[in-house]
Amino acid sequence: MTRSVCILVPRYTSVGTESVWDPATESRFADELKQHGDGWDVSATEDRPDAVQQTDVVLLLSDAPSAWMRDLLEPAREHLMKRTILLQCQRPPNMLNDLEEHHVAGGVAAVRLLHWQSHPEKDTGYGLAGLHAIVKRLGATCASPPFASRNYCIFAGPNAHSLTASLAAYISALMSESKTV
Amino acid sequence: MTAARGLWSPVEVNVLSDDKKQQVLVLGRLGWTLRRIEETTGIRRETASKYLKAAGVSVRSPRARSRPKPASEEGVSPRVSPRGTPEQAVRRTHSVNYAETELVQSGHEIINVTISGGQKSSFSNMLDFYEKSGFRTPTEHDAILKRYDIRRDDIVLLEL
Repeated sequence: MTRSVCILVPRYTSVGTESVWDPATESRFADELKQHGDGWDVSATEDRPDAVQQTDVVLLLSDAPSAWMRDLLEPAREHLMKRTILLQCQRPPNMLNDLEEHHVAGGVAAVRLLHWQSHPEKDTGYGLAGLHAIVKRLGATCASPPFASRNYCIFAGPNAHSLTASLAAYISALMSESKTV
Repeated sequence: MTAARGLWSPVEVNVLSDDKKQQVLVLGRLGWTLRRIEETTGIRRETASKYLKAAGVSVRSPRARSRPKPASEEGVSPRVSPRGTPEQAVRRTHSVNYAETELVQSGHEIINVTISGGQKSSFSNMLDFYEKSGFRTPTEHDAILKRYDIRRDDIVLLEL
């Protein structure tokens, strides 16, 4: 069965656009994830409740769950948060506090994503924040405090040389974990 | 016969435009030194100082940047963080606002270093994320830290 990853991009609001990605960047990110992923179906779409129904992992271009996510009733909300990775977090180590608050699957700082976007030649696999258990499953090493909190830590995917490669490795480990639960 | 110009004609009065004035005030509030404001905006230190003082913004002299003596040398008893952790391990503390350094001005924000509380960490640890992520090489960071007289093993406190 093909697993799917959905990138949710905030589009337009009554006060203007929220999206920080142009279509080319969106496409590049999705292509790179697909390239490093395990035959996943990777799509990017507007952040709407109906976009994630059949999705295994959600990548949300925001520093916090969307309003519609927060309004979900339990256990639907918890289930969605467990497979959601935030892509526009505060800079570390502050981002770890937000992850702890929202109980999501992981996060990428906005500044880190911007670096991937603007300096692909200098990119490395370091800088994601993930759950200790998943990072351990991945065989990666957690950073020490303050870049590690109770449940999350900054890490690099083993043998990953870019943000998207590292993210793909983490998503694979996350999918494996959810299968075993 | 030409008319005499008044002593305070617009030509002779050095008045900053609102934009320039705002720029000076913002930079002053960020803790920039007058020298740096002058270098960046082209507005003379004396003029910037006048506007900052009028706005009630304390002006930093370059001496304010100088490295504080270690607490032990100053005979200061160890500070205690809000979390109750004695800070005897803090060899040096920095009141420097790191956000104004070149690390930030080049678009690579590092951290707002503060001594007002929070967790303790060394600069080395703070820079680790940015170096491993490819923002800057350790050599590049070392050159900047050297200019600011900051050592990698100096301890900073983070407001989280």
